Amino acid sequence: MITEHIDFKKNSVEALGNPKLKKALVNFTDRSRASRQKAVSGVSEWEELRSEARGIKEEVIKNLDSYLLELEKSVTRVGGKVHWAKDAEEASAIVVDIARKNNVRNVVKSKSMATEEIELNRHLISNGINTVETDLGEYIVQLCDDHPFHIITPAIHKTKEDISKLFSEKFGVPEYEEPQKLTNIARKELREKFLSADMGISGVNFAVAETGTIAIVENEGNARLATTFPDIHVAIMGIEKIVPKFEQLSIFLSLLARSATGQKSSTYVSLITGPRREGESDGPRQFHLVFVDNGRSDIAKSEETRESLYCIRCGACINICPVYRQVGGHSYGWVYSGPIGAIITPQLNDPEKTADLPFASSLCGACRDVCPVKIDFPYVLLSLRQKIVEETKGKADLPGFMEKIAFQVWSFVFSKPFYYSLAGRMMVFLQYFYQKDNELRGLPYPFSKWTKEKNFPAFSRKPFRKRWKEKYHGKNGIAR
Amino acid sequence: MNSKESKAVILQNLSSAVRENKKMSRNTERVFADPQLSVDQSKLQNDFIANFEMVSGEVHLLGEKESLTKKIKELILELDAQSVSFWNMNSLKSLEFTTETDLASADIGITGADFAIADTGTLVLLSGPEQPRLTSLLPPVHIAILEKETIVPNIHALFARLGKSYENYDKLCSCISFITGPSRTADIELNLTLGVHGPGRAIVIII
Repeated sequence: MITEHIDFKKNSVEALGNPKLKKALVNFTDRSRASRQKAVSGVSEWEELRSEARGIKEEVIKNLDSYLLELEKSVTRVGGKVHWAKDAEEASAIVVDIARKNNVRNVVKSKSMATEEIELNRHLISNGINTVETDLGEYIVQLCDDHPFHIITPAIHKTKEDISKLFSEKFGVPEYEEPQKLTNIARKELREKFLSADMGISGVNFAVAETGTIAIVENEGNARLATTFPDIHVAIMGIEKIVPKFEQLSIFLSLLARSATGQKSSTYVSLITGPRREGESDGPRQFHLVFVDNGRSDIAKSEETRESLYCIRCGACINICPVYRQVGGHSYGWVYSGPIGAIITPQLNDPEKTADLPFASSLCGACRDVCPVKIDFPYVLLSLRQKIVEETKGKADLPGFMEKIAFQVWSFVFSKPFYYSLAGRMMVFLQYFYQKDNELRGLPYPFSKWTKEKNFPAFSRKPFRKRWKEKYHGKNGIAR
Repeated sequence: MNSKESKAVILQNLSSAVRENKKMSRNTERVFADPQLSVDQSKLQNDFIANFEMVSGEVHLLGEKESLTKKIKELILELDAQSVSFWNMNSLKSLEFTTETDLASADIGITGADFAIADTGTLVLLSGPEQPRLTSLLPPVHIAILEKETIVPNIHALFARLGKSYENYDKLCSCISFITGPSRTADIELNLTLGVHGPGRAIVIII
């Protein structure tokens, strides 16, 4: 949960001052955009898949209550147990309780944004349960006591020198620089953890209501290990993750891998239906599925922003975002970053503490264009902005008041040709002191807020209307 | 608050969400798994090989007269493996190796594959008493034996096929694993490395 106001501007300024980070961000966003583009262009029915997926999600969210009940029934039928958590605290308490009842000492975790959201690790560790992240990126982040930088590649802000030093400190190995050697060290360390774990915790990419199947998508194999080796498997899912029919998984799996990492298919997809069956020699003996609401049912009620729940957490919007490319993941102050963070974080947390985020966008819409479920980000962002402005109405708000006056003046001037041309001439006169190299710099308050960040082109001495007339000599300025 | 009360609260909150269009039944098979699509089995096989190799997988094609056992023995020798763990399959009965009981220390895991997907280069393994999940996961090398007739064109066709074989999914196995090449990660500066958790080598023998 967010306890302090997220100061997006301050965070961004900090990020912008870090050249190492900047290099990593440019490299990362360039490469992921290119590989996504390549993967997507190989699918002729891509647009149909997006429309189909969106249609399914629309339907799921509208009928989420009955789908959750259907999923619970299906999971129970195959021998699993469903738990309902209305908020983060409760979700963590449920997992701690399962661990305690089964005398669990060691937990291995695979990557899950839902568990980041509910801060599960903190709860488990404070209850004396050893908890290890096993996704390589998450493991690195956990060893540094840091937070994930990106929902798909959590440690993208760490250089291999950082990681080499970290491993050397923690495991007493030489400072290897080769990524493959570092990977091998992590394999050895983590394999030990898997073999001694008595509980595995995973997220859920999709949950099929009709069969009680959960789909887990990954590249490393750590989720497979975490959900196969230990005796107890606990899967944590946001309640929006439902897909009604088993066969519909093919649509979402096609979209997810290509959108997330530009792969045709992720290396491993596990479709897990309940605990191990009679006669099987591996797989967990207990299967628990935790439904986490944590604000999602409130989002489902809002007609304007409901589509925030269609998200399948691929990260394509983050990789394409020109804002994220500059300021990186931590500027968004919480688990989710980029455009999806800008719309989800304020809706799952205190709206006042997160009010900066819906404004952390230029509304360019690149996120909407790449989104595999066609979330209309600019629309949702504007709806959230509107809500924030409406809620602050009545409070003493000078900038808001000034803005309102400014726009009234603007609309008056722009709708009257006489005042418009007069204003133009006045500007040419007024700009005299601020003009340099045909640009306006260092304007007085309140315009200083603009010119602090960028220069404006100066007003032309000869307005466009006049130049047009001179050029064409046409009647009323209409070209012959 | 216990789980039961939370359930009531969540459902209550959701029931007030709008629902202008009622449930629609969507048939994905009709749209995306065209039955006319490329049933040319040799093309499917070539596509599978190309895609599996693209993700650093290795493929061996077994000729008509070649013996599978001989091929596997060659591979075991080549990999200098001390212990091998394998599924209880008819085609492996004549292999003189005994199954390694401690899977964690096996050098190679040999499995079958129930299906494969041509356009992604994916193996599909169903779990069961004779088909443990860990055989394809714990050892550093995974060898899968794939019958070429089981290759389907794409993921939509695969789900249509699974749907047919399960009817109403009552007997869906506990775990279906899709495997597309060896275990990989790009978590260190986006450098591709193999074998971070699962096998670093994934080898398919097509029979």
